[in-house]
Amino acid sequence: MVKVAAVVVTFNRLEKLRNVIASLEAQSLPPAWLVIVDNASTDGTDAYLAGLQSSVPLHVVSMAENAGGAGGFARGMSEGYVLGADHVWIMDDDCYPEPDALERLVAGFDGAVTELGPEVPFACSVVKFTDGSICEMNNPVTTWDWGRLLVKGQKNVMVTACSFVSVLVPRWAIAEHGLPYAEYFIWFDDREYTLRLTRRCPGVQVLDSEVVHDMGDNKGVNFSMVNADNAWKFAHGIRNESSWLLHHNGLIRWIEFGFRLLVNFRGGRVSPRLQLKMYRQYLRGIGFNPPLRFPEPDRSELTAGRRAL
Amino acid sequence: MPILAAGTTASPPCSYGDCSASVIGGSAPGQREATIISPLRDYLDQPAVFEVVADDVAAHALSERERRILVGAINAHVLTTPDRELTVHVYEPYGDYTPRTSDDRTFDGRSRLYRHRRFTLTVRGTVTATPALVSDARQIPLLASDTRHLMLSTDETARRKPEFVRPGDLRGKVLRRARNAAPLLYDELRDVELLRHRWRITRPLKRRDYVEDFRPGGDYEHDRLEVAGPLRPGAPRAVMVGMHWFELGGAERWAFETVRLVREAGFLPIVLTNRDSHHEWITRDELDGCLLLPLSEPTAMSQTPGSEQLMRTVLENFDVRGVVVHHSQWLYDRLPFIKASRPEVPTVDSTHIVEHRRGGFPASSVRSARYLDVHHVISPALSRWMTGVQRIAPERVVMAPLGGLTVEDTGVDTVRPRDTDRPFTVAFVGRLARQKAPEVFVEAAARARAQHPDIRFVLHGHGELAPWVHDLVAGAGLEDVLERRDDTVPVVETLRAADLLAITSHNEGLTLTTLEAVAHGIPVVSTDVGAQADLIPAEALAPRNVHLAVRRLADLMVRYARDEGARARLWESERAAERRLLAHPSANEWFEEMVSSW
Repeated sequence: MVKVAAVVVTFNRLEKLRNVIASLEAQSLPPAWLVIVDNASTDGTDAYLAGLQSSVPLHVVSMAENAGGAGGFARGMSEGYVLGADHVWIMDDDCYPEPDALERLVAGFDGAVTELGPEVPFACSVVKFTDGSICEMNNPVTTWDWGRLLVKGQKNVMVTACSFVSVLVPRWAIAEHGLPYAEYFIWFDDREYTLRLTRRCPGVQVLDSEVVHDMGDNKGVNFSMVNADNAWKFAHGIRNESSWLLHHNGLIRWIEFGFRLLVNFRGGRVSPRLQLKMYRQYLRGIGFNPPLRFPEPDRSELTAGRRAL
Repeated sequence: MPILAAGTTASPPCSYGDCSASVIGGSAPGQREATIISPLRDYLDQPAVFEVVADDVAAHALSERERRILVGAINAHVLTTPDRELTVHVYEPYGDYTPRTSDDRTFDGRSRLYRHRRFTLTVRGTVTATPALVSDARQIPLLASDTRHLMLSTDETARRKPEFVRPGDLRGKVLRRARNAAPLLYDELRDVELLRHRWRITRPLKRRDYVEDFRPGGDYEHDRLEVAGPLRPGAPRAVMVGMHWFELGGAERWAFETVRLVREAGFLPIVLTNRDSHHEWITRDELDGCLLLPLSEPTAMSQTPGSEQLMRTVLENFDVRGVVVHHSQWLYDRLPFIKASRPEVPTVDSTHIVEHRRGGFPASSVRSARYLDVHHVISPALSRWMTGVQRIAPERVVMAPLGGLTVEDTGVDTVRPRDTDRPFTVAFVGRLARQKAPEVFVEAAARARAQHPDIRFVLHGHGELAPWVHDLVAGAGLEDVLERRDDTVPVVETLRAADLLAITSHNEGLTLTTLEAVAHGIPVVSTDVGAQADLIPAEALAPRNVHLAVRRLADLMVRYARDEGARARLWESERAAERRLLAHPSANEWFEEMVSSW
């Protein structure tokens, strides 16, 4: 029997979190564990989780401070790994899986393994908006031969990258490729991680596994949309992508990204002040290169002296 | 139900030694009849200190080797954290890694080796123990967890016994390349490096004072000595035996023999190992019915110094009547705790060989001298080192050779005449490991062959250096005249096919192979290491230095190939020395008598 740890990262969205938990408890293939990473919420989430009785064995990880989605997923995936899960199933606190989402996701993953081999590194669901339309922000990137499994009768599309909204990651992939970069904090953590996972073999989007993403506006994002309200998120995204391109893809790709930003900023008439702010983040990527981490003690932990009780 | 109340019946019944719920009498002199209430259960036909709450059919499909390692690993965890229900995940083997059974990562699962879960069991311990102290915050997540993570290795890997190469070990890679390119030069450089360690073994070593360790400034100043609690009424009688690993070497053959003798004396053998290994010999008959604890290290975070979770539970649930240490540093380190908790329990160790680097286990024996009642050694040379250099009181040192252990009485009383139908044959018998220096044998063979074309060779053994030795043989152009044999061929067959045995080791105690060869009428030439000089006359010894050894051994091979009279005289001299040695009570006789008094 496959053991799946459902990992939910939450921050100050208690009402939505209740729905997420209810959706997980209603799964036709129940998760073996429910790991909830509370990113130091201040809206009473901690008290709610402390008193929560769930039909699924519950593991609450209370972060000392908000580590962002990236830090939360890295921590939660590590927790699922050490619980002994065969897969971790990661999602935000506004993701409501349909009752058969996990069952179909696992079946889709197994089907892909049968066809593509044991190195299939993840399976993700179809992400719909609350009105039933496709969620603009959560569309995976397909491979050139995306239909290869469809013609074999599977309901799987081969993909190279997706967002962290209902993604099933097998434990071997965490052991082999590591955890998401916690230091990314928010944005681009999911894209970087899934691209890292698909270097040898693509992942799959399982078309009959569906989740609803209860986000505010159903809009995609691009760099022409930077404004004063969302600049903080774009700042993280640009720093993270800049870092990844420079340190993992090479100088040409990094320079190309700089030009792409310029084109987008101009197209979106982003104010010069914000452009300057964003380019500072672009340059921060030069010195920002977080280390790859795995679910294992780092050297300092092993060599450190005694820690008093 | 951690343990049965007196008078109730164990379920399922246990059939290991005197551990069943029964009334026995006269278990020790002066002891009144006692009801034995055993914590032992049976899982996968192995003695276990747990009951299985949720089983998995996959566990029942394991090989005998895997079963014993698995049950042993769960035993170790239950003894470390008794009174618990544990969820035990067992993962698929990964690469050539040795089984992970009890190290700190088996408690928290934070290891990249655990890639694919194989199956999961839920178990509940049948032992209890007084609480052990926890003194370091890093211990808490390990000991508080109710989940354990174990990994076995495949039988195929265990048979192949690969040389373990740690990924990213640049230093090891460079050293291996150097060894492959110039094996003898590499040995010379290692000898130079060893010089800085050798002085230590020529001076008395400092004895460990356990109580001092817990005083301010001591290694365990933040811990406290908290001895084991009282023995549970009706606990089964047991003897604890510590081994290096469940692999086969001279020391292990003797250790297995002691396990057999312990069992024959009516005790439950509790056999632990602490050296990472694939444990291919864990299936040996001597271990049938033993409580096995094949530990993997490090266990630093799960065992509190002075409180000793695992050992504490053993001492409280088993009536330990004696402790025998065979090359197990883990058990040496726990002797002070055992003596502090149960001062009346006799403690004995058995050592074979003084390692050039820091002395090896004889040095551990000396350091633990305050907590050992008897130091058993297998050669007069080691006895002299113990009493002379290390100033251990002679009455506490027992010299009892291992003759009789594997050396059958062949009735041979002359050198075995050469078979003139085949060329003169020189054999090497031993593990293909660094200590045995197979490279010296190959080089000496090549040199002897150049002087005397009518010699052939048999290289008998298997081990981590097997692929390298294969390349050496090919490189020396000896493929046509050097026959390779592995463990599938009995050693006796090789001895029957040989006219001379060559021991080329960098270091030895007193090799059983030498005794075996002499018993079969085969003379032996050897490097002058360990106690080999106790058996082999000076004219058949070669210096330890590898270049000199190659030259000398090659000359000796040629000499004895050409001079049958000299070969006969060598054997007679060795036979006489062997008889002198074996006139001492054998290790078997000594141990059997001692155990019967426990």
